[in-house]
Amino acid sequence: MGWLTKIFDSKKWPIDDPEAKEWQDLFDRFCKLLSLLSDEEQNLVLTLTEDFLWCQWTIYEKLLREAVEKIESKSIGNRKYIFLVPLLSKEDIERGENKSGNMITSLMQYNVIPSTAIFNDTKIISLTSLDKISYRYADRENSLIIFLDDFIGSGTTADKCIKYYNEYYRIENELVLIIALVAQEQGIDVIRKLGLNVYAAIIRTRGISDSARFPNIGRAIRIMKNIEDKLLINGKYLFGYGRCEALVTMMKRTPNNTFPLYWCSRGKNKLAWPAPFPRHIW
Amino acid sequence: MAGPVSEAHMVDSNIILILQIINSKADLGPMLKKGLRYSQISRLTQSAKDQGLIVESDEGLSITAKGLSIMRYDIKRGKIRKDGGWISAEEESRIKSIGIDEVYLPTESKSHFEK
Repeated sequence: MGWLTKIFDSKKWPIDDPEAKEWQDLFDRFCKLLSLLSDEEQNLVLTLTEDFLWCQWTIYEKLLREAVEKIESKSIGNRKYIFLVPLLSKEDIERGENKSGNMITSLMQYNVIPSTAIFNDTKIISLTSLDKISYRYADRENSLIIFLDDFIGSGTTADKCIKYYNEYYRIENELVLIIALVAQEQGIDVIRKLGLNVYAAIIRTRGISDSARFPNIGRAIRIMKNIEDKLLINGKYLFGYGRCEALVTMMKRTPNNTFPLYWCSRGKNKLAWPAPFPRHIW
Repeated sequence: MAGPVSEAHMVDSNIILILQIINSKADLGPMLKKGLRYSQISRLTQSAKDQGLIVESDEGLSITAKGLSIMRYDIKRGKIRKDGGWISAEEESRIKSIGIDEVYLPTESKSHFEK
Protein backbone atom coordinates (compact mmCIF):
# COMPACT_ATOMS: atom_id res chain seq x y z
CA MET A 1 0.00 0.00 0.00
CA GLY A 2 2.96 2.30 0.62
CA TRP A 3 4.01 2.06 -3.02
CA LEU A 4 0.48 2.86 -4.18
CA THR A 5 0.33 5.85 -1.81
CA LYS A 6 3.61 7.16 -3.23
CA ILE A 7 2.20 6.84 -6.75
CA PHE A 8 -0.95 8.72 -5.80
CA ASP A 9 1.03 11.44 -4.03
CA SER A 10 3.46 11.92 -6.93
CA LYS A 11 0.63 12.13 -9.43
CA LYS A 12 -1.58 14.21 -7.12
CA TRP A 13 -4.40 11.70 -7.45
CA PRO A 14 -7.03 12.06 -4.72
CA ILE A 15 -6.83 9.85 -1.64
CA ASP A 16 -9.81 10.25 0.64
CA ASP A 17 -10.31 13.81 -0.58
CA PRO A 18 -13.80 14.99 0.43
CA GLU A 19 -13.80 17.55 -2.37
CA ALA A 20 -12.96 15.01 -5.09
CA LYS A 21 -16.52 13.71 -5.06
CA GLU A 22 -16.34 11.40 -8.07
CA TRP A 23 -12.99 9.91 -7.19
CA GLN A 24 -13.17 9.31 -3.45
CA ASP A 25 -12.96 5.54 -3.85
CA LEU A 26 -10.26 5.48 -6.57
CA PHE A 27 -7.59 4.49 -4.05
CA ASP A 28 -9.89 1.83 -2.60
CA ARG A 29 -10.54 0.36 -6.04
CA PHE A 30 -6.83 0.10 -6.65
CA CYS A 31 -6.36 -1.63 -3.29
CA LYS A 32 -9.17 -4.08 -4.02
CA LEU A 33 -7.72 -4.80 -7.43
CA LEU A 34 -4.25 -5.47 -6.01
CA SER A 35 -5.75 -7.78 -3.40
CA LEU A 36 -6.91 -10.07 -6.22
CA LEU A 37 -3.38 -10.43 -7.58
CA SER A 38 -0.26 -12.43 -6.75
CA ASP A 39 2.91 -10.64 -5.61
CA GLU A 40 4.48 -10.56 -9.07
CA GLU A 41 1.18 -9.40 -10.61
CA GLN A 42 0.94 -6.60 -8.05
CA ASN A 43 4.50 -5.53 -8.85
CA LEU A 44 3.64 -5.40 -12.54
CA VAL A 45 0.47 -3.34 -12.04
CA LEU A 46 2.18 -0.89 -9.69
CA THR A 47 5.10 -0.48 -12.09
CA LEU A 48 2.71 0.20 -14.96
CA THR A 49 0.67 2.61 -12.85
CA GLU A 50 3.80 4.71 -12.28
CA ASP A 51 3.52 5.56 -16.00
CA PHE A 52 -0.25 5.95 -16.09
CA LEU A 53 -1.58 9.21 -17.50
CA TRP A 54 -4.88 10.51 -16.13
CA CYS A 55 -5.82 13.33 -18.45
CA GLN A 56 -8.54 15.35 -16.74
CA TRP A 57 -10.64 18.06 -18.33
CA THR A 58 -8.68 20.74 -16.46
CA ILE A 59 -5.58 20.16 -18.59
CA TYR A 60 -7.35 19.78 -21.94
CA GLU A 61 -6.90 23.39 -22.97
CA LYS A 62 -3.23 23.40 -21.98
CA LEU A 63 -2.56 20.24 -24.00
CA LEU A 64 -4.47 21.53 -27.00
CA ARG A 65 -2.42 24.69 -26.93
CA GLU A 66 0.79 22.62 -26.77
CA ALA A 67 -0.30 20.54 -29.77
CA VAL A 68 -1.15 23.66 -31.80
CA GLU A 69 2.20 25.23 -30.94
CA LYS A 70 3.89 22.35 -32.72
CA ILE A 71 2.35 23.40 -36.05
CA GLU A 72 4.67 25.40 -38.27
CA SER A 73 2.74 28.28 -39.78
CA LYS A 74 4.59 27.94 -43.08
CA SER A 75 3.17 24.44 -43.44
CA ILE A 76 -0.32 25.93 -43.48
CA GLY A 77 0.20 29.00 -45.62
CA ASN A 78 -2.59 31.52 -46.06
CA ARG A 79 -5.95 29.87 -45.91
CA LYS A 80 -9.33 31.38 -46.51
CA TYR A 81 -11.21 28.95 -44.26
CA ILE A 82 -10.29 26.65 -41.42
CA PHE A 83 -12.77 23.91 -40.66
CA LEU A 84 -12.63 22.31 -37.21
CA VAL A 85 -14.09 18.83 -37.42
CA PRO A 86 -14.29 15.99 -34.86
CA LEU A 87 -12.27 12.94 -35.87
CA LEU A 88 -15.08 10.45 -36.57
CA SER A 89 -15.45 7.50 -38.91
CA LYS A 90 -18.36 7.26 -41.33
CA GLU A 91 -19.91 4.65 -39.04
CA ASP A 92 -19.58 6.93 -36.01
CA ILE A 93 -21.35 9.72 -37.91
CA GLU A 94 -24.16 7.43 -39.04
CA ARG A 95 -24.64 6.19 -35.47
CA GLY A 96 -24.85 9.75 -34.26
CA GLU A 97 -21.79 9.29 -32.05
CA ASN A 98 -20.89 12.35 -30.04
CA LYS A 99 -17.30 11.59 -29.31
CA SER A 100 -14.77 13.77 -27.58
CA GLY A 101 -13.93 15.65 -30.76
CA ASN A 102 -16.79 18.09 -30.25
CA MET A 103 -15.30 19.11 -26.92
CA ILE A 104 -11.96 19.71 -28.62
CA THR A 105 -13.40 21.70 -31.53
CA SER A 106 -15.12 24.01 -29.02
CA LEU A 107 -11.97 24.45 -26.97
CA MET A 108 -10.07 25.17 -30.16
CA GLN A 109 -12.54 27.75 -31.44
CA TYR A 110 -13.31 29.62 -28.23
CA ASN A 111 -10.27 29.18 -26.03
CA VAL A 112 -7.14 28.39 -28.05
CA ILE A 113 -7.41 30.05 -31.47
CA PRO A 114 -8.32 33.51 -30.04
CA SER A 115 -4.96 33.52 -28.26
CA THR A 116 -2.95 32.00 -31.10
CA ALA A 117 -1.29 33.97 -33.89
CA ILE A 118 -0.97 31.08 -36.32
CA PHE A 119 -4.53 31.31 -37.63
CA ASN A 120 -4.85 35.08 -37.88
CA ASP A 121 -7.19 36.56 -40.48
CA THR A 122 -8.76 33.23 -41.29
CA LYS A 123 -12.42 32.43 -40.98
CA ILE A 124 -12.90 29.59 -38.49
CA ILE A 125 -15.86 27.27 -38.93
CA SER A 126 -16.72 24.50 -36.47
CA LEU A 127 -18.66 21.51 -37.74
CA THR A 128 -20.22 18.78 -35.62
CA SER A 129 -19.29 16.18 -38.27
CA LEU A 130 -17.59 15.99 -41.64
CA ASP A 131 -20.78 15.41 -43.64
CA LYS A 132 -21.95 18.92 -42.71
CA ILE A 133 -19.24 20.38 -44.92
CA SER A 134 -21.14 19.68 -48.11
CA TYR A 135 -24.30 21.51 -47.06
CA ARG A 136 -22.92 25.03 -47.30
CA TYR A 137 -19.27 24.69 -48.22
CA ALA A 138 -19.17 22.33 -51.20
CA ASP A 139 -17.51 25.02 -53.35
CA ARG A 140 -14.99 26.11 -50.72
CA GLU A 141 -11.47 26.85 -51.89
CA ASN A 142 -8.07 27.30 -50.32
CA SER A 143 -9.13 25.85 -47.00
CA LEU A 144 -7.65 23.83 -44.18
CA ILE A 145 -9.48 21.01 -42.43
CA ILE A 146 -8.34 20.18 -38.92
CA PHE A 147 -9.65 16.91 -37.53
CA LEU A 148 -9.59 16.90 -33.75
CA ASP A 149 -9.81 14.34 -30.99
CA ASP A 150 -8.62 14.07 -27.44
CA PHE A 151 -6.97 10.66 -27.85
CA ILE A 152 -5.65 8.64 -30.78
CA GLY A 153 -4.97 5.00 -30.03
CA SER A 154 -4.43 2.48 -32.81
CA GLY A 155 -5.29 5.03 -35.51
CA THR A 156 -8.24 2.96 -36.75
CA THR A 157 -10.74 5.80 -36.38
CA ALA A 158 -8.35 8.27 -38.01
CA ASP A 159 -7.76 5.88 -40.90
CA LYS A 160 -11.50 5.44 -41.49
CA CYS A 161 -12.13 9.18 -41.15
CA ILE A 162 -9.49 10.14 -43.71
CA LYS A 163 -10.58 7.48 -46.18
CA TYR A 164 -14.16 8.69 -45.84
CA TYR A 165 -13.00 12.27 -46.43
CA ASN A 166 -10.88 11.27 -49.46
CA GLU A 167 -13.77 9.37 -51.02
CA TYR A 168 -16.60 11.85 -50.53
CA TYR A 169 -15.36 15.30 -49.60
CA ARG A 170 -11.81 15.92 -50.72
CA ILE A 171 -11.28 18.88 -53.07
CA GLU A 172 -8.16 20.12 -54.80
CA ASN A 173 -5.72 22.28 -52.84
CA GLU A 174 -7.38 21.55 -49.53
CA LEU A 175 -4.96 20.89 -46.69
CA VAL A 176 -5.77 18.42 -43.95
CA LEU A 177 -4.14 17.85 -40.60
CA ILE A 178 -5.00 16.07 -37.37
CA ILE A 179 -4.63 17.35 -33.84
CA ALA A 180 -4.92 15.29 -30.67
CA LEU A 181 -4.12 15.92 -27.05
CA VAL A 182 -2.62 12.46 -26.48
CA ALA A 183 -1.68 9.88 -29.09
CA GLN A 184 -0.19 6.42 -29.08
CA GLU A 185 2.84 6.05 -31.32
CA GLN A 186 1.10 3.34 -33.37
CA GLY A 187 -1.72 5.73 -34.20
CA ILE A 188 0.74 8.44 -35.24
CA ASP A 189 2.46 5.96 -37.59
CA VAL A 190 -0.87 4.98 -39.19
CA ILE A 191 -1.75 8.60 -39.87
CA ARG A 192 1.67 9.46 -41.27
CA LYS A 193 1.40 6.54 -43.67
CA LEU A 194 -1.72 8.23 -45.01
CA GLY A 195 0.50 11.18 -45.89
CA LEU A 196 -0.90 13.53 -43.27
CA ASN A 197 0.61 15.68 -40.57
CA VAL A 198 -0.54 14.87 -37.06
CA TYR A 199 0.21 16.90 -33.94
CA ALA A 200 -0.20 15.70 -30.37
CA ALA A 201 0.84 17.31 -27.11
CA ILE A 202 1.79 13.95 -25.60
CA ILE A 203 2.92 10.88 -27.53
CA ARG A 204 2.83 7.58 -25.68
CA THR A 205 4.50 4.26 -26.29
CA ARG A 206 3.40 0.75 -25.37
CA GLY A 207 3.28 0.25 -21.62
CA ILE A 208 5.22 -3.04 -21.49
CA SER A 209 6.76 -3.75 -24.91
CA ASP A 210 8.35 -0.29 -25.25
CA SER A 211 9.08 0.28 -21.57
CA ALA A 212 12.54 0.55 -20.05
CA ARG A 213 11.15 -0.43 -16.64
CA PHE A 214 11.09 -4.17 -17.32
CA PRO A 215 14.44 -5.99 -17.56
CA ASN A 216 12.56 -9.02 -18.89
CA ILE A 217 9.74 -7.91 -21.18
CA GLY A 218 8.75 -11.47 -22.02
CA ARG A 219 8.17 -12.22 -18.35
CA ALA A 220 6.16 -9.01 -17.89
CA ILE A 221 3.98 -9.96 -20.85
CA ARG A 222 3.42 -13.43 -19.36
CA ILE A 223 2.35 -11.90 -16.04
CA MET A 224 -0.06 -9.53 -17.82
CA LYS A 225 -1.60 -12.46 -19.66
CA ASN A 226 -2.21 -14.11 -16.28
CA ILE A 227 -3.96 -10.98 -15.01
CA GLU A 228 -6.08 -10.61 -18.14
CA ASP A 229 -7.03 -14.27 -17.88
CA LYS A 230 -9.07 -13.28 -14.82
CA LEU A 231 -11.15 -10.79 -16.85
CA LEU A 232 -14.34 -11.44 -18.79
CA ILE A 233 -13.41 -9.61 -21.95
CA ASN A 234 -13.47 -9.88 -25.74
CA GLY A 235 -10.13 -11.09 -27.09
CA LYS A 236 -9.69 -7.99 -29.25
CA TYR A 237 -9.18 -5.90 -26.09
CA LEU A 238 -6.35 -7.98 -24.62
CA PHE A 239 -3.39 -5.70 -24.01
CA GLY A 240 -5.72 -2.89 -25.12
CA TYR A 241 -7.43 -2.65 -28.50
CA GLY A 242 -4.88 -2.84 -31.30
CA ARG A 243 -2.42 -4.16 -28.68
CA CYS A 244 -1.68 -0.55 -27.92
CA GLU A 245 -0.77 -1.35 -24.28
CA ALA A 246 -1.95 2.15 -23.45
CA LEU A 247 -1.78 3.58 -19.94
CA VAL A 248 -4.17 6.48 -20.38
CA THR A 249 -7.56 7.60 -19.22
CA MET A 250 -9.15 10.72 -20.65
CA MET A 251 -11.90 13.08 -19.53
CA LYS A 252 -14.92 11.25 -20.81
CA ARG A 253 -13.81 7.67 -20.65
CA THR A 254 -10.87 5.33 -20.58
CA PRO A 255 -9.92 4.35 -24.13
CA ASN A 256 -10.22 0.63 -24.84
CA ASN A 257 -6.61 0.83 -26.06
CA THR A 258 -5.62 0.96 -22.38
CA PHE A 259 -4.83 -2.33 -20.65
CA PRO A 260 -8.30 -3.67 -19.72
CA LEU A 261 -7.38 -4.37 -16.10
CA TYR A 262 -7.81 -0.63 -15.58
CA TRP A 263 -11.28 -0.34 -17.15
CA CYS A 264 -13.00 -3.74 -17.45
CA SER A 265 -15.60 -4.18 -14.67
CA ARG A 266 -16.27 -7.88 -15.07
CA GLY A 267 -14.15 -10.81 -14.11
CA LYS A 268 -14.58 -14.50 -14.87
CA ASN A 269 -16.66 -16.75 -12.59
CA LYS A 270 -18.98 -13.85 -11.81
CA LEU A 271 -16.16 -11.93 -10.17
CA ALA A 272 -16.70 -8.17 -10.09
CA TRP A 273 -13.46 -6.53 -11.20
CA PRO A 274 -12.74 -3.31 -9.26
CA ALA A 275 -11.60 -1.34 -12.31
CA PRO A 276 -9.93 1.90 -11.19
CA PHE A 277 -11.03 3.80 -14.32
CA PRO A 278 -14.16 2.03 -15.59
CA ARG A 279 -15.45 2.95 -19.03
CA HIS A 280 -18.69 4.86 -18.76
CA ILE A 281 -20.62 7.07 -21.08
CA TRP A 282 -22.56 10.14 -20.09
CA MET B 1 -14.48 46.45 -1.99
CA ALA B 2 -16.98 43.87 -3.21
CA GLY B 3 -17.13 40.78 -1.01
CA PRO B 4 -18.35 37.27 -1.78
CA VAL B 5 -21.99 38.21 -1.10
CA SER B 6 -22.31 40.89 -3.74
CA GLU B 7 -19.97 39.15 -6.20
CA ALA B 8 -21.82 35.84 -5.97
CA HIS B 9 -24.99 37.55 -7.15
CA MET B 10 -23.18 38.63 -10.30
CA VAL B 11 -21.85 35.17 -11.20
CA ASP B 12 -23.77 32.91 -13.58
CA SER B 13 -24.93 29.70 -11.89
CA ASN B 14 -23.33 27.66 -14.67
CA ILE B 15 -19.99 29.24 -13.87
CA ILE B 16 -20.51 28.21 -10.24
CA LEU B 17 -20.98 24.66 -11.54
CA ILE B 18 -17.74 24.89 -13.52
CA LEU B 19 -15.95 26.04 -10.37
CA GLN B 20 -17.37 23.06 -8.48
CA ILE B 21 -16.27 20.68 -11.21
CA ILE B 22 -12.73 22.06 -11.27
CA ASN B 23 -12.46 22.10 -7.49
CA SER B 24 -13.65 18.51 -7.13
CA LYS B 25 -11.62 17.22 -10.07
CA ALA B 26 -14.84 15.96 -11.65
CA ASP B 27 -15.65 15.60 -15.33
CA LEU B 28 -18.16 17.51 -17.38
CA GLY B 29 -21.02 15.04 -16.89
CA PRO B 30 -23.14 17.32 -14.66
CA MET B 31 -22.92 20.15 -17.19
CA LEU B 32 -23.80 17.97 -20.15
CA LYS B 33 -26.71 16.43 -18.24
CA LYS B 34 -27.91 19.95 -17.61
CA GLY B 35 -28.15 20.36 -21.38
CA LEU B 36 -25.14 22.58 -21.95
CA ARG B 37 -23.22 22.18 -25.18
CA TYR B 38 -19.45 21.94 -25.34
CA SER B 39 -19.34 25.35 -27.03
CA GLN B 40 -21.17 26.89 -24.08
CA ILE B 41 -18.86 25.17 -21.62
CA SER B 42 -15.81 26.53 -23.47
CA ARG B 43 -17.20 30.06 -23.40
CA LEU B 44 -18.11 29.79 -19.72
CA THR B 45 -14.59 28.57 -18.93
CA GLN B 46 -13.11 31.58 -20.71
CA SER B 47 -15.49 33.87 -18.85
CA ALA B 48 -14.47 32.33 -15.52
CA LYS B 49 -10.84 33.01 -16.42
CA ASP B 50 -11.63 36.58 -17.41
CA GLN B 51 -13.33 37.12 -14.04
CA GLY B 52 -10.32 35.78 -12.15
CA LEU B 53 -12.24 32.81 -10.77
CA ILE B 54 -9.99 30.18 -12.35
CA VAL B 55 -6.44 30.30 -13.61
CA GLU B 56 -4.41 28.18 -16.01
CA SER B 57 -0.98 26.94 -14.97
CA ASP B 58 1.38 24.12 -15.95
CA GLU B 59 -0.96 21.79 -14.11
CA GLY B 60 -4.01 22.98 -16.00
CA LEU B 61 -7.06 24.83 -14.72
CA SER B 62 -7.42 25.48 -11.01
CA ILE B 63 -9.73 27.57 -8.90
CA THR B 64 -8.48 30.82 -7.41
CA ALA B 65 -9.12 32.01 -3.86
CA LYS B 66 -11.71 34.40 -5.27
CA GLY B 67 -13.40 31.58 -7.15
CA LEU B 68 -13.40 29.39 -4.05
CA SER B 69 -15.07 31.97 -1.84
CA ILE B 70 -17.74 32.66 -4.44
CA MET B 71 -18.32 28.97 -5.08
CA ARG B 72 -18.96 28.29 -1.43
CA TYR B 73 -21.40 31.06 -1.03
CA ASP B 74 -24.96 29.85 -1.20
CA ILE B 75 -27.10 32.59 -2.61
CA LYS B 76 -30.37 30.98 -1.50
CA ARG B 77 -29.30 30.57 2.07
CA GLY B 78 -27.39 33.80 2.22
CA LYS B 79 -24.58 32.19 4.21
CA ILE B 80 -21.31 30.33 3.52
CA ARG B 81 -21.77 26.59 2.87
CA LYS B 82 -19.02 24.25 3.95
CA ASP B 83 -19.26 21.87 1.08
CA GLY B 84 -20.16 24.25 -1.76
CA GLY B 85 -22.84 21.61 -2.53
CA TRP B 86 -23.67 20.41 -6.00
CA ILE B 87 -27.38 20.98 -5.49
CA SER B 88 -29.09 23.44 -3.18
CA ALA B 89 -31.90 22.06 -1.00
CA GLU B 90 -35.35 22.63 -2.43
CA GLU B 91 -36.53 24.41 0.69
CA GLU B 92 -39.90 25.32 -0.78
CA SER B 93 -40.82 21.62 -1.04
CA ARG B 94 -39.80 20.70 2.48
CA ILE B 95 -42.68 19.37 4.64
CA LYS B 96 -42.98 19.19 8.40
CA SER B 97 -41.65 15.89 9.74
CA ILE B 98 -43.99 13.64 11.76
CA GLY B 99 -43.21 11.54 14.84
CA ILE B 100 -41.91 8.00 14.53
CA ASP B 101 -45.15 6.51 15.88
CA GLU B 102 -47.40 8.65 13.72
CA VAL B 103 -49.04 7.45 10.50
CA TYR B 104 -49.69 9.78 7.61
CA LEU B 105 -53.23 9.50 6.18
CA PRO B 106 -53.92 11.68 3.14
CA THR B 107 -57.10 13.76 3.17
CA GLU B 108 -59.91 12.18 1.18
CA SER B 109 -60.62 14.04 -1.98
CA LYS B 110 -64.22 14.44 -3.09
CA SER B 111 -63.22 14.13 -6.71
CA HIS B 112 -61.42 10.86 -6.00
CA PHE B 113 -64.38 9.13 -4.38
CA GLU B 114 -67.25 10.61 -6.32
CA LYS B 115 -69.21 8.02 -8.18
